[in-house]
Amino acid sequence: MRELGLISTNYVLFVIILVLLTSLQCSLWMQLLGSFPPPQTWIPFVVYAALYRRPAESLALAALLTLAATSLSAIPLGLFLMLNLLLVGFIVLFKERIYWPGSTYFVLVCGSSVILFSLLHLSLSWMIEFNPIRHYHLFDWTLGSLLTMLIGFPLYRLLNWIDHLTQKELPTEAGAQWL
Amino acid sequence: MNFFTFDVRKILFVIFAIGLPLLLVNLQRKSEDTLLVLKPFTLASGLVQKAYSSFSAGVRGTTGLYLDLIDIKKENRLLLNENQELRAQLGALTELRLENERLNSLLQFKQRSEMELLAARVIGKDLLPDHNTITINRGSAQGVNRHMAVITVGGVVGYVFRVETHTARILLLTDRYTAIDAIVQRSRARGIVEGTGGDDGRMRYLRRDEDVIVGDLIVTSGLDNIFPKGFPVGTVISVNKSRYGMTQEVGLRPVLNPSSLEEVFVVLNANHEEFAAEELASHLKSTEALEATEVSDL
Repeated sequence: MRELGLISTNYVLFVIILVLLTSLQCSLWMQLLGSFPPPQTWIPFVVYAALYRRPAESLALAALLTLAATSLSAIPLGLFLMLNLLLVGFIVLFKERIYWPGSTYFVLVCGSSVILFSLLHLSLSWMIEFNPIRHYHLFDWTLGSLLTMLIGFPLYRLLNWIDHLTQKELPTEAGAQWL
Repeated sequence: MNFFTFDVRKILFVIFAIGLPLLLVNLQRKSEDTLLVLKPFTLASGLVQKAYSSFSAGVRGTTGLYLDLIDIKKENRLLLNENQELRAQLGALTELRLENERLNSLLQFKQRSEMELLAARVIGKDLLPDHNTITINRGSAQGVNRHMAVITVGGVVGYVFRVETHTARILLLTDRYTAIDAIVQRSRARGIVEGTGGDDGRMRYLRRDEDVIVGDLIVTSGLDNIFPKGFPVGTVISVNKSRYGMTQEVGLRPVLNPSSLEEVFVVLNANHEEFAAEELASHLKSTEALEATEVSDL
């Protein structure tokens, strides 16, 4: 019972911080910096879920985070969910091959994930959408990726701290959770 | 020594001691000029004083200059701070003036229009760069519903696609998911305007034989009573007729940049209002004038 409470607290805290950050990205960033590309603030959460949770749990957490973030975009929930779950899958597969503990790895994966997400979105858009993406926002993607890496460091510390607070232990070796 | 015996030398000395100053006093009273005997002394002391004075003036000047420099530095710092404050105030005032002009223009439009309009402020944009949506500070509590049109003085902005209690999300004209029923103002050819995800749009499902040329104004059809009839959407920038097919595709540039808006109107009820060409022209002129003012102010 206590464990369930801790897990729920962990998830609730993740969602609260995600909502705060995504709202900041959509509202405050625009008011202060206009159309300057913002960091993709939800990506580090999905990356964190993929890297530091068991696969099944990472999918569940990514789905929950997607639900929380989808209200801020016109993207259909199904497509956004599919994209984020695919992203989790790619990260998990990548982690099995190359992994080292620490924030640097997390930040690098965050930056790469922004580009990967955009490419997945582009591909899926051409596959399933009636009016697919025609404008490639390369500048936004690149700058978004760099800025996401920048916010990755403090977010890693924060999410790590939440995990410690709710007594979640981080795996330190690649694929440890599979054993 | 006898009482009446006088030492003449002493008497002369006394007379001289008393008499000389008296004589000098008397002489000075009579004349304003310096005594001739004193002239060398006054001249010498004057020269020395002047030399001292010049020297002290130089020292005082240098010291004063140094002290002034310190003061000037302080003063300069104060003036710079003051200047920055004034610049900030000027910026804020310019911002207020521009906002006032924009709001004034919106108010005039609202007063002239027969439509039931709800003014709203843009408070956010989309999470993803591949979608063009904005959030406004009005929701169902203020009477906003899904699919309501969103316009501004210059033209169509988009329509409501998601409503919360106090906020609503607007799908902009340039978003890929947007579809607006529109006509070519000149030839009345009808089609559907879609966004492309960039800064432009396109009009589809126009019959191949319809008359469309570059520069034509695309306006809303008003058939659904969501948008007022004849409200500007964009200008034709390209016409593509493929070798086969029944339709032609028209590229268009929106009359306004929907992603740079700060205030918009939600059309609660279009009341079947129709915009005539002359009225449109005056709208467009006033919008262009307003935009020009803003650009020149920046």
